[in-house]
Amino acid sequence: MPAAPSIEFREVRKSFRMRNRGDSLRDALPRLLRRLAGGPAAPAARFTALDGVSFAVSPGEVLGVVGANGAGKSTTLRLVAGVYRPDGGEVIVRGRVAALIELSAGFHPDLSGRENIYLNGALLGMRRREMEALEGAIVAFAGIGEHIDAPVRTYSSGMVVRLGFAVAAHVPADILLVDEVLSVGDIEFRQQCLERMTRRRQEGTAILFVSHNLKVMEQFCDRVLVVRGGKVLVDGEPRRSLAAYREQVASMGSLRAVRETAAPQIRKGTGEVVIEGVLVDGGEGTAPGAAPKGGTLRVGGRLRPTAPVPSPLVAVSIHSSQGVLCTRATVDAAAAGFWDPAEGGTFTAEFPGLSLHPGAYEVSVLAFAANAVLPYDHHQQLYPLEVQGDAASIEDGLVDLPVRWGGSPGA
Amino acid sequence: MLHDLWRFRDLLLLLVRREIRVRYARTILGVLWSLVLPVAMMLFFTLLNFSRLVPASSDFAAVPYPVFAYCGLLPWAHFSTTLTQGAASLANARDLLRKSAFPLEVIPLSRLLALLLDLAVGSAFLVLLLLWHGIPFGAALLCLPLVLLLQVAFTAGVLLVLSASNVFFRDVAFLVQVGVMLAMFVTSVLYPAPSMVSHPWLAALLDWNPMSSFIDAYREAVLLGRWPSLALPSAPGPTLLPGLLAAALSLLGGGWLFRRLSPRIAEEV
Repeated sequence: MPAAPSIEFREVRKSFRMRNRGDSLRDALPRLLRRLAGGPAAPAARFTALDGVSFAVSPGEVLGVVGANGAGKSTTLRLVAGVYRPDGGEVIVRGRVAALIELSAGFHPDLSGRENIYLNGALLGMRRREMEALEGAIVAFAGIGEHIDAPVRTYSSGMVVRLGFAVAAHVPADILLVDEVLSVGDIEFRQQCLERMTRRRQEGTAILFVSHNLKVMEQFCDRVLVVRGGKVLVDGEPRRSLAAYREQVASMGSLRAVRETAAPQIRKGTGEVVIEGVLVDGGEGTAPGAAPKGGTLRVGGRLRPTAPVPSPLVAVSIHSSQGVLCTRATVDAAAAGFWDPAEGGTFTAEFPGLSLHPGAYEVSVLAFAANAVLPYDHHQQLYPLEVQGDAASIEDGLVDLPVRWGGSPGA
Repeated sequence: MLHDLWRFRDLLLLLVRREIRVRYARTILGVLWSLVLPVAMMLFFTLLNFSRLVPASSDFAAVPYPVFAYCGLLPWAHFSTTLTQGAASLANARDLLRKSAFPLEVIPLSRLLALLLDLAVGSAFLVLLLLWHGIPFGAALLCLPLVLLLQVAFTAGVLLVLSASNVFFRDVAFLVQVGVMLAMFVTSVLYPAPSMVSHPWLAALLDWNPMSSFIDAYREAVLLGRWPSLALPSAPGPTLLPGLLAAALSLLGGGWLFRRLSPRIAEEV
C-alpha cells in the first residue's frame, strides 16, 4: 500500500474579507448596535481565493503550481503552511512544513543573517541545538560570505532569497513549500536550488513548487496543477498541464483578463498606457503563436492611454524558454508614427527572415517612459512563440547566424 | 495552548532577546533609559508636593515620599509600557505571521517578558533608594516574586486581548494610550487612590483595582515589612484578593479570546 499523501486538499474553499470595510470601530460599532437591536447582518464583501480545490502530494513527489497572479497560488501555500485555515473542505498535512513564502518574510532587518537563521528555524519550531547543527550547512549554501554577520537590512534582495531558501531547504521537514525563488537568483543559484530540491525529493520530502519559469517546471515537477480563478483547471503530467496553461494564456488574446484579477501591488506597470490585443503571428498558414524559421514574425498590439502622458517607448523582446534574452527591439511610438496623445495607436513589429532555431520562446511587450522607474505596462514573457522548422536539423544554439564555410583538404 | 508554547519556547526566547537588543540599540544610555521615566516622575511629583495626597492617617505618612512614589511608579511602568507598546505588536508583525504557523501569543508575550529587564534595572535603583533612606529589608520581601507573578499574569491576559483586537480594529492601540494614562490616576501609584474620592461606591470600586492591589502589596512589603493578606478589600491592611482574582480571570479570559481570534489574525493583519 502506498504511503499516505503528505498533503491532501479536499474541496477546499477559502475567501477573504475585502479591505476598507468595517476596519475601524467607527464602522463596526453602529453595525454591532444594529445587530444587537435585531437588525439584519450586513453582508460582508468577500473575495473568493479558492473555490473547491482538491489535490494530493505524496512523499517524494514534486507538485508544481502555475496560474496568473491572483489565481490562488499563495493562498494554497499558506493553507498548507497552516497560516490560514480553510472556510470549507479539508486540508490534511502530514508532517512538518518548511516554507519559503513571500521572499523576504520572516527576517528581522536589524538582526544579522546568522541570527536570522536561528529566528527562522525557531519559527518552524526547531530547537536551538538542532539549528546549531545545521548552521554551517546553511551558511555555506547561502554563499554570501562575511555578510552573514551583517544586519539583514544591508542585504540585497538576492542575498535575502539565498538565505531564506538555504534555511527552508535545510531544516528537516516532510513538506517543502517554495514560492518563486527562481525568479530572483542568478542561474548558478537556480541550479543550486534545483539540486538541493532534487536531493530533498529523493529523501522523501514532498515539494510544492510555485514558479513562472515554465521550462523548469516541466523538467522538475512530477505533476503540475494549473489554477485559475480559485479552481483547478488541470492536474496532470507537466507537459500536458503546461500546454493547457500556455493555451489558456494565449487564448486570452489580450492579457487584460489575467491582469485584472491580479492584485494592484503585484501588477507590473502604472497602467497610464495599457497594452491590449497583442497578437503573435507567423503569417499565413501558421497557428497563432507559431512562426516558421526564416519566415516573417509579426508582433502587434494596441496602445491605449488612460492618462495624459508623453509618447511611450515600445519594446518587443523574445526570450528563449530558458529565460535567455534573444533580442529586444525598442522604438519611440511618436517617432514611428503610431501615437496619438488622446487615442493611442496600434503597432506592429516585423521580424523578417526569422533567424531563431526551432523551439519554444516567449515574447514580451513593454510600454514605458524613457526615465521612469515603473513601466506603463509590461506583459513579461507572456506570449508563447513556437519557431517551427525541420525537427531533424542538427543545428543548435539560440540564433541562426548566416554562415559561410571554407577550407581545403589535406594538411 | 501551553503545549504549543512549550514547543516554541526557543522562538519566545529568541524574540525576547531580539526585543531587548533592538530596543536600546544605537542609544548611548542603553538599558538605563528604562530608569529615566520613573525617576523623572518621582522627582517631578515630589517637587509638586504630591506628598500632601498621602493622608496623615496612613502608615505611609512617615515614609519619604520619593520612595513611596517610586514603589508605585516602578511596577506601573512595566504595566503601562507593556500595554502601550504591546497592543500594536501583532499588527506590526505581519511579515512574521504570514510566513509560518506558530503560536501567535509569543509575539505580544515576548514584549512583556523583554520589559521585565527594565523592571529589574528599576528594582536595582530601588535598592539604592532604600539603602539611602535606611529602610530595613524584612522577610516580607519574600512575597515579592509571587506578587510580581500575579501582576505579570494579569498584564499578559489584558495584553493578549488588546493585541489581538488591535489586529481587527487599529483604534485599540490609540485607546490604550489614553486608557493607560487615565488609569494611573485611579490607581495607587502616586497616592492611595480610594482615599481620593468621597463617593462611597466609587471608593469601594477603586478598592477592587487589581493594579492598586499589586502596588499596595509591594509597598507594604518593601516599606513597612508587612505581608499581604487575602482578605476582602474593605478590611484594613493590604490584600492581594483583587489582584489574585483579576490575574486568574484575565489570563483565562484573555487566553481563551486570543485562541478564538488567532485563526483569523494572519489573514486580517
